[in-house]
Amino acid sequence: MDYILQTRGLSKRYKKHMAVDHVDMHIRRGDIYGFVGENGSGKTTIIRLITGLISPTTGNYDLFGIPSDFSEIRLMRRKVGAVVETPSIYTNLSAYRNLKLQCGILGIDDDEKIKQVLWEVGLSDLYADRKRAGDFSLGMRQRLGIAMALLGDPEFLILDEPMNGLDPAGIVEIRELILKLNREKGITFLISSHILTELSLVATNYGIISKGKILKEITAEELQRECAVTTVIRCDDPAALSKLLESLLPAHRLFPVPDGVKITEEIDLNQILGAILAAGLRILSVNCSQTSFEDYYLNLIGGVRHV
Amino acid sequence: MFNLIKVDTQRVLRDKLFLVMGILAVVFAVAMPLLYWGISLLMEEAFAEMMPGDLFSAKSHFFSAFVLSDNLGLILPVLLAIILCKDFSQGTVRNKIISGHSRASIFLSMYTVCALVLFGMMLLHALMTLGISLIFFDYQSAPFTSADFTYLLQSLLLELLCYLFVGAIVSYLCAVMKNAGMAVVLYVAVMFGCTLISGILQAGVMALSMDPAKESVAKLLKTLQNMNVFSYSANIGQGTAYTNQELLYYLLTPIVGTTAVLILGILKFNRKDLK
Repeated sequence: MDYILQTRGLSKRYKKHMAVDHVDMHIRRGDIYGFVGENGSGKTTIIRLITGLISPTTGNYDLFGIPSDFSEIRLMRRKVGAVVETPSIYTNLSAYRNLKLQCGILGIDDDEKIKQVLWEVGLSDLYADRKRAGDFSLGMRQRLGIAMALLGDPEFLILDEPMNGLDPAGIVEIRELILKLNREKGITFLISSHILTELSLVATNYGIISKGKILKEITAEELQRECAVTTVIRCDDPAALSKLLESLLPAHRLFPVPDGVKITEEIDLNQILGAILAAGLRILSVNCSQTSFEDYYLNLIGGVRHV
Repeated sequence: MFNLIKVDTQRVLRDKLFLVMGILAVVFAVAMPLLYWGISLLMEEAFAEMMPGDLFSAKSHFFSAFVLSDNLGLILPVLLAIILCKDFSQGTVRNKIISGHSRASIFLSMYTVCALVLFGMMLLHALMTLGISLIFFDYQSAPFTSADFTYLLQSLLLELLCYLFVGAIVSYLCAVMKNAGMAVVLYVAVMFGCTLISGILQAGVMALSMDPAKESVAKLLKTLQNMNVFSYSANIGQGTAYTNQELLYYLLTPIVGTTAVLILGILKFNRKDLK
């Protein structure tokens, strides 16, 4: 498997508090990995660990296949762009100057590149603008932060809560930018967020974290299956019902429940009910429900919390 | 690391506080010679000649401009610490780490820029002071000889070493402390602490040197005083020649101190958790 990032037992302890507890994460090339967890669950700490801002207490990780304890890891970091928490920008300088300094850090001298990334993030009119970055709106700062992260042509982009503080239009723009960069440039993303609905519009994979532990890694398809419509049909002869449904829905997953059967995939309810009645079975009840991503997440972390 | 030095230099030069540093350098360069000129006018000539250390000479003013615990020598490291700490408070140091630069090179780049800006600015300030002072005073009362030229070069080298050491302390505090406020407070505390210790040592030397039995203790105190950069920086350039012992201490102390602080800084910064 071509993993961009793989962590093994990654842990970070602050005095008595275990911020990150033996985390195993797997991000494949081309993924948009949605990193989901409540506030203080350890998302940002993990991002800080993999960007080298803090060092792990125990465990390690591979970045582009290079273990974190190898000195070559620094070369791999050149393929990474990141916006951690707040965009790292010089507030007293203009957007152009900020990007020029970032070019200096990366050892590139290319004004065309600056123009290109500003255009990509929708800030092209700031190329010649001398307005200080400190006077930008939060959305503009966020986009400038992404532009800076894009300067080094990263293969892996880490965005920590990129939708935070953005207005609805800004959220849509950032979402479209992420999808475009993933589609057109093949950039792999790690996006942390606690806005689940927003994340579900872009993510191809999810890592669900709570209290510093990864509870589950799941693909978007798997999640969709988990969150699909669930239909529970109860009748006077559950064994006959089960037999009938097995023949009618051979590709579906059926689960026995008291007095009936649970189907966890979408079905043509009219057709199924018609067939049951035609078979002479007496229907006692039909319950249809759908698990949302939020429900799924809350079930996983074991109850309602601030998400 | 060259890229980082370039970036850090641009960052410092574009900061508004750098402009403030420049303005202060000019203000002090103009004010100090004028002040001495005013004092010299008010003083009786005979009394002025009695003043210690060739007080009313351009040479004295030139080297006084470098003193670490006075005027610009006190303010400049504080302002520079505030500028350097912005890299941490604004989180921009993250860009350097995420871009694959080692922490050692980030720290050394910060130190290089800090030391160069400190010494460069102090040298410019001192040269301006010298220029303005020469309008009112002679370079020195005695004729300028080749020995004076050697002494001048030696003194400039010693000043450079002092500022390399101060730059190391400032960089260390900026890299290790949580914020600019703590870095500034600690720098000022270190400076005043050293100056205070120097005063106590000076008093001890004066008291003990009168007693022949305690001459060795007085010598030890004098040696300790000669190893205090914040204290001896006021003596640099104020005489006509250095004794071998003075040269040894004035050279070794900042070199050993700078090396130790830089090594400690790299070790600490390598382990520092960044936000």
